[in-house]
Amino acid sequence: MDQLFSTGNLEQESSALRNRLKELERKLALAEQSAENLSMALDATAAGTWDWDMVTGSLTVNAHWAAMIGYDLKEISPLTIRFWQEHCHPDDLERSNDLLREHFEGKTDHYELELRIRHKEGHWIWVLDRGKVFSRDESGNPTRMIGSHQEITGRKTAEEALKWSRAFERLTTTISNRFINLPSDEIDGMVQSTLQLIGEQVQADRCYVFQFSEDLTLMDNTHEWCAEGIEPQIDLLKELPTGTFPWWMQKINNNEVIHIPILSAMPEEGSAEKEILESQNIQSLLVIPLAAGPSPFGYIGFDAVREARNWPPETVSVLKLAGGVIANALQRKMVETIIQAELDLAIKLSATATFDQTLNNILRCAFKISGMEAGGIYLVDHEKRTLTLACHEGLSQEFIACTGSYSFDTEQAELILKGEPVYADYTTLGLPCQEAVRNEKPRAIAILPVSYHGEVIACLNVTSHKLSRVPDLACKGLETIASHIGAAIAHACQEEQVSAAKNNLESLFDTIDDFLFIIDQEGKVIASNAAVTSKLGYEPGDQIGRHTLEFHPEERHQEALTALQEMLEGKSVTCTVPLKTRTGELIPVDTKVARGIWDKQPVLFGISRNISDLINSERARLENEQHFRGLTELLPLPLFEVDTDLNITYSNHICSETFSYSQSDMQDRMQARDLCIPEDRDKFALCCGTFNDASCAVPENNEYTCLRKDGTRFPALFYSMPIISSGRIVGASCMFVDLTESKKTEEALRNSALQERIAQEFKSLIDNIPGAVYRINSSGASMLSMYPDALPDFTREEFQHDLLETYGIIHPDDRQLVIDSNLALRAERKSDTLTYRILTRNGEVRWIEDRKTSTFSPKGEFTGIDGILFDITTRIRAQEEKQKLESRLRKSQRLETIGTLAGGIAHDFNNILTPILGYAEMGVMSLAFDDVLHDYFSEIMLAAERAQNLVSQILTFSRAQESTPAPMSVQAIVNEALKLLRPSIPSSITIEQLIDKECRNILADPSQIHQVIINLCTNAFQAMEGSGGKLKIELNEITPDATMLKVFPKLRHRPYLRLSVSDTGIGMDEATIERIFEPFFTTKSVEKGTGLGLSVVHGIIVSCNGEITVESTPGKGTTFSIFLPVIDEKVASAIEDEKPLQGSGSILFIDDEIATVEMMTLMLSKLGFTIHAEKSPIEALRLYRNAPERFDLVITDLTMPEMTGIQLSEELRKINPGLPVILMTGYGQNSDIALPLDHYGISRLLKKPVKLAQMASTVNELLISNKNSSPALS
Amino acid sequence: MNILVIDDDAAVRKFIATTLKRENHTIIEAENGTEGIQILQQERDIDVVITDLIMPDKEGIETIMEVRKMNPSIKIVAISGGGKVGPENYLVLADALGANATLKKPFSGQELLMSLKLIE
Repeated sequence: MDQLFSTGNLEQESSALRNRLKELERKLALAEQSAENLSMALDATAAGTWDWDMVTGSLTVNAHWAAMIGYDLKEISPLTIRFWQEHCHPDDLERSNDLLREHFEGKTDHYELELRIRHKEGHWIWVLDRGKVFSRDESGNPTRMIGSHQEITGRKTAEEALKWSRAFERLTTTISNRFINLPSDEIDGMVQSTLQLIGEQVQADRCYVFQFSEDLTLMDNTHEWCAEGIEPQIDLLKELPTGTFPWWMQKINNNEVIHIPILSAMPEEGSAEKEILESQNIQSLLVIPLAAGPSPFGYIGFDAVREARNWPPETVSVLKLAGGVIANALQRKMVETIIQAELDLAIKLSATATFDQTLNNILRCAFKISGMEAGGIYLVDHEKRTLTLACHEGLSQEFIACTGSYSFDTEQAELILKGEPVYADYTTLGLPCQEAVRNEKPRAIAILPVSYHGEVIACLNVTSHKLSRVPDLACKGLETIASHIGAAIAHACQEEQVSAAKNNLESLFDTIDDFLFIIDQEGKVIASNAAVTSKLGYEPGDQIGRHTLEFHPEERHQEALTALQEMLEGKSVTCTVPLKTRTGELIPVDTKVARGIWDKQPVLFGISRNISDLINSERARLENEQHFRGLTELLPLPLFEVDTDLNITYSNHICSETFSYSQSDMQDRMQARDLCIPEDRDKFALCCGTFNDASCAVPENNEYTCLRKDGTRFPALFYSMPIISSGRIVGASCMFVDLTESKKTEEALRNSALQERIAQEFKSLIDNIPGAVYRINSSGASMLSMYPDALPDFTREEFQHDLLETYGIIHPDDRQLVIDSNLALRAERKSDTLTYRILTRNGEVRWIEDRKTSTFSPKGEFTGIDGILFDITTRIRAQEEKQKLESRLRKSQRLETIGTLAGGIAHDFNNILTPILGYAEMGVMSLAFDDVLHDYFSEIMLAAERAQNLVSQILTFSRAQESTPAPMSVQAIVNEALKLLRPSIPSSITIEQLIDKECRNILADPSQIHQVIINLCTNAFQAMEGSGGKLKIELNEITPDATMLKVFPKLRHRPYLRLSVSDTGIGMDEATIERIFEPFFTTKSVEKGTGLGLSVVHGIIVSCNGEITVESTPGKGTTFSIFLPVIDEKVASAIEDEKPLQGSGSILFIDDEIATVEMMTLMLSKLGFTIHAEKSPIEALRLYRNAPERFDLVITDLTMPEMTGIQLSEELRKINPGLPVILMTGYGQNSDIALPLDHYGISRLLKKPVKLAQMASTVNELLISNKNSSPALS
Repeated sequence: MNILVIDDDAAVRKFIATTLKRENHTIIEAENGTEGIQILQQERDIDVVITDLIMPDKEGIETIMEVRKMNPSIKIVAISGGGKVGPENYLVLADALGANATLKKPFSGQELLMSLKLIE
């Protein structure tokens, strides 16, 4: 300011200064305002600010800065830069210093770094530290720097995590890639290096793999990686018993990850494990199970030794992935080991020479795969039914002695023959075993039956003395072996057999006595059997390589060579050149060869057979033949031989003599056919030729007509026999026997023989006639034949005498007939047939048919009668029965016709009588009592009433009368009727009653049955009126037999009540009986009867489905029998007392009255029926139409407004014709009975009010009969 | 009373008519069931129907059933001489199916009048 004044122009200056001041003040105010704003803005961002005096080292910070790291500003003031340096992360401090330096040097516009600062609570927070130099000294060194802290922990953590997980992803991918396609022998190394990779990533101190033994009892540390400075443990951790880690093992087996961040915080259950881990100074631990299948086979672990570590969940899950990759790799290694073993086995098997080697290789491979160390292979012999141990290893001699062989019926064999693999602990198998077996102490055992073509041929048994269980993985491997070795074992077995067979063949070859040899294309011997060397005198081997010609005599070499060449060309020749021994002797042989392959060369297989014996026998044969020829020449029979073409090859001299040829003619291949006449030649050729064709028939007749050279003929028999040479027919030896002489004698004999034969045949013929044949001639009567059973009771002699001579047994009435007939036959030549009766010894009548004819001599004199008798009783009886039946049918048809007629007439008569009676009545009523016309009308009325009565009877006969059938007892009615009749029966007549009181009831109108009894009894005593006698009434039950059923076709095979009324009166003849039931037929006087009685009886019985019969003998009496079907029902009155029957079934009930509906529903439901009630018939019909199967029966009222019960019933029957319908009606006075209502579609009619018992029995009856008769509606 | 008499036998019809007219009833005659039903349809005020059972064209049981359907309150007397082989017991059936009385031919005038009285 002083300065300014000094320069003068003060006012100007001061004004300028003032202005300047003002401006400064304004600027200051602006600056202050701006600083305040800035401060507020900073405050709002919650950023920490710092001001570093680089000269003093003091640091000024705001409250945000302090709060960021957990402090109150006052708590840490005053600050120096040292505080900041102490709290900054050492790793970041260095970088910060570098950056600051660069900034101080002016290389950067500002300083900026993301760094970590320790929070008051010990953890790190991330801040973005930014700053700029604010002032510098003269030399340019910074003196003051200001800047800010902004917390970025959230972002940093997220970035870290992202980075970490990317790294892990990379890690997993890397691991996976590493193991893909890795050869199994490199897996271990790769696991090792992978452990390192993971260990480093998760910052573990130690990283390792443990694997369990197969039975999970032991575990081995198999791989390990240790961080620098950490002691390896792998060599110490072998064969650790898993039992000492129970908690641990349980977790692993459950496939759980064990993560222990701080060992001291391990749960109580893991105390045993804790102790062990503590001894290894382990602070934290992470264990991940290794599993390729469902159960882990080991684990991968991470230890933190130097300081405790808490692995975040992401790490754990990534490690699990990595664990999976390693587990798979290790598993693959195991599997590949097995596959390799199998492959090795396959290679070994293919190279194996012997059977034993094969088995041994299989066994070793099984050991290798299973990790078990003992076992054997059994071979199954299905023929001997045994198992034999063919190969074994690792087993004691004692054990083998016990288990070396099993028969099929032992448990061991059964187990194997099932064909299923068995894995077990031997001790728990439960097989019976001896002490030696127990001493052996086998534990885990695998029994693997080996099948080939579906049959168990062997069994591979592998066992372990250490393992308690066959390893799972081994099972698969063993099964694979078992399935593969079937063929190998079978093949090996076969080879052994082939080899044995080959040895057998070789010895056979050598034992054959013939000379066997093999020669090559040049004719040199390649091989021969022992006979060649021994018999031809060669040393063994000496014959090989020699030419075949050397074995033949030199003089016949040419012949042998030709044969050899032909043989080599493939021709089938037999060489007969003999063999020559070393000593020069000749052996006659036949040599044959066949072409073949030997050691892949075309060769000839040859056989030379010594034929010395053959030659000798041929010589003998020739001699024999000479001998035989000499003999045939001596024979006096023509003999010759033919070849197969029937050319004569030899004939004896008799032969040429017989046929007039010279012997040379004949032997010059003359045709043997020419020895017969042309007609016989075919047969002859056939007979000779039978030897050519075995199937052709030999003619039975060997007789021929021979033809001599001169043309003359003679009969001869021809015999031939085939000539067989070397098993083949080459011709025939033939012989003729001249029949010329014998023919003559035969002719003479033939005539007498024929006659005898005819007589014989005739006799046999008549003996077989089913009757008796007789002949009457001058010398008397004779019975020629008597067919047994034809005429019983009589012998031939009796017939001869009593029938033909005295006629004694002929029925007296017929005797004359026979006598007359015989006389007539004597008079002229004729035939007659008689039918008459004879009486047997016990008086039985038998009918005879007698057919006879008279014989006369050529001169016309009567010579006799030939006749034949038949017993025709059966036929006659059948005819009689038929006639009876026909007559009965006729009668019943006639009665039927008359009934119809009478019924019609009666109906009309009633119509006519109505006005007659009515008007007569009117007349009577209109007239005074004393009027004569009154009397007349009264008489008309009386007559009309008689007529009415008569018509009523006719109606009864014609079954048109009203009746009221009901169950009734006939016994009671009989008693009642007799009581009524007795007074009118004269004392000369006795009455006998044979009444069976046990007889059942019948269904009939009691008043009608009463009428029947009265009518029959009246007839009976009227028949005895003059003479007196006995009236017998019988009543019993019978069941008609077959005979009765035939005569009375209306009867059935069921019980009937039989009522018979017999008298001992005058009786009736056939004609009377025939018409007895016809109306108005009577034998009595007009006063005694109308002629309607029996016709009424007939009508009543027939209407009751019964039958009436009559038997009568004139002068002896008559019996009427009535048959009426019995019923089990009791008399009607009894029903009401009965309890209602229970039943079941579904009923549709229709009535328009509610009261009835309610009552019936209640009633029927109580009885056990299901009831559906409807008030409307229309509704009921609709209901039934929709579901006809719902109802078994319908009960309907008759009168209903919409539709009557009858109409409803008709409609229902249209839907189901078999439906039972009960109609209830309130009308009528008649009692409720079964009515013929079917016509109207109604099964039963019941009158209201309906009784419960009646309703129940009706419904039950209908349901049962419906069920029986027709099947329910389908 | 107005009485309809149905019978194919003219003599019977005439006798019944004569008997009933004497008692001051009005009588309409019909030869068979079909004719009887036709009359019933035309003449509403008929009190009693007397019908034979066995008739040509339309027999009595059928007629009774139809009459009942047309007029449940009308009185019916069934008459029959019975007879003819076939369904039996016509009068019993008529009784059950709605006849108020039955009469067996031949009957007297007294019997006829008695049965009419009984059903009144």
